[in-house]
Amino acid sequence: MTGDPQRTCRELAGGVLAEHASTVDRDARFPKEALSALRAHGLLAAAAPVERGGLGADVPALAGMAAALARGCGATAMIWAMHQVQLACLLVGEGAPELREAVTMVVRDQLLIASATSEAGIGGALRTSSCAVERDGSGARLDKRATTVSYGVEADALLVSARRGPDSPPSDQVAVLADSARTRLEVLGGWNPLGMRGTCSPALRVSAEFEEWRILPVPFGDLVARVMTPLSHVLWAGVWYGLASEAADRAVRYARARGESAGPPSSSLAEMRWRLAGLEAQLDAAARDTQDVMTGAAEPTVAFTLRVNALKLATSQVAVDVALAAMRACGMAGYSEDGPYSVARILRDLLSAPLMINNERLVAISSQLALVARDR
Amino acid sequence: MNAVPARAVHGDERTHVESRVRDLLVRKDLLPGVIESVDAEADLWELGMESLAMVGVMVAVEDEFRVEFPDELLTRATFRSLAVITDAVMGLTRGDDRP
Repeated sequence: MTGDPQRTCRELAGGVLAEHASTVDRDARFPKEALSALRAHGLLAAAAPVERGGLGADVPALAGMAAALARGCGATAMIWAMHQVQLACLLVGEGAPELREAVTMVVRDQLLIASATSEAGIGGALRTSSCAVERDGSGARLDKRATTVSYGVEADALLVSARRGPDSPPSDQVAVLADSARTRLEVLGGWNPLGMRGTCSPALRVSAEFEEWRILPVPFGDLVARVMTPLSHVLWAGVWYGLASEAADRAVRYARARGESAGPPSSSLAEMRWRLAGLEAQLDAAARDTQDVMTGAAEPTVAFTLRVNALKLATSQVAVDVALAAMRACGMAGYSEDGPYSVARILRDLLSAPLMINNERLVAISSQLALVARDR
Repeated sequence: MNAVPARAVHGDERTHVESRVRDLLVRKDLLPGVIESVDAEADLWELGMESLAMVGVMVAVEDEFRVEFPDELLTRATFRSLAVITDAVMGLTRGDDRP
């Protein structure tokens, strides 16, 4: 791919993503046209270094790409963001040569990786597993009832967390790169949510058989602290920031179209700007911090974890506020599901933000961490 | 201007700090049935320590030894084992150059 990836994302968002966004949303179906386009432009391998065949985008660039994509289709942007997190996890540590080869193939063939970290009876608590890797003469296997697996059925491989072995405590986990070809997926529930409908995230039973080398070399807890949590929060925040920015722009276009005869512009226009300015600054700072932690230039300390948690909490709430302000500014034109000033799908998509790692849980964790937080 | 303790004294001090850390974690009910006898080098994360429990350990160790960990030491790595916690505490209490 030539040119600036963020610009490509903007162009695709205004083109193929926007074109299919409403049917993807209406039918709660996987955005296959958008994903094909992302693949064709090499964008699925954005987070992989150039020397491994990727685009070598750093975290701030990835956040910008997530925001750009979200303007066309929130679900597509979220799928792309989650995939980048899985890819980044695969690129950490020196695994077996077979694993390295498998990851090279993921990058080269632009394979789509889903994640199965939630579990029945545990919910979204990332750092606890109930299922375990079990072994016999022929290899390893695991059987997991995951409560939410986004685009799992569409993925080429899944990153699955599990206890290291049948005797391991719930927090001694590993991550396994399970090949879809040797994984049986059973859809356990329906999928008819309020928003982010194209992410196709039902409950799944995941029964995987795999070779020992498919267990990632880095302990899952370290992977979560250094890559999975911070990068998820930054890229999700990028998506939410992009959605909120799109809502604000629609409100501005609506105000301009009404013209001066309608009186002075809605005060919501100013409110949206100051809220977005705060989010942009916070996102940019957290993206740079996360880049340093992922390269090893900085450690994932308590203060760092608090900052990325704060980004998630703030963005997931403020982006909703921005979309609501846009809807107030646009009136019925914003409330409508159709038309150029519709904010309806954007608002529905954004209402998932406080639930992706529930803010209540995140606040409880952050309050504990705050007991030992130090200033920089 | 750090005075280097004689080897024997250092060894005694280390054993003493390590046993205070262990007693503290026992009192805090961290990994009950395990922490009492676990090897000082053993990985507490692999033994079942959880992230929130780690915060409790950080607070308890700071209170017990009247130290304040700088942010760069507030990581999973610092709290991986009794031995590493002991190293961190000794580093902070031994003629430290922090204000």
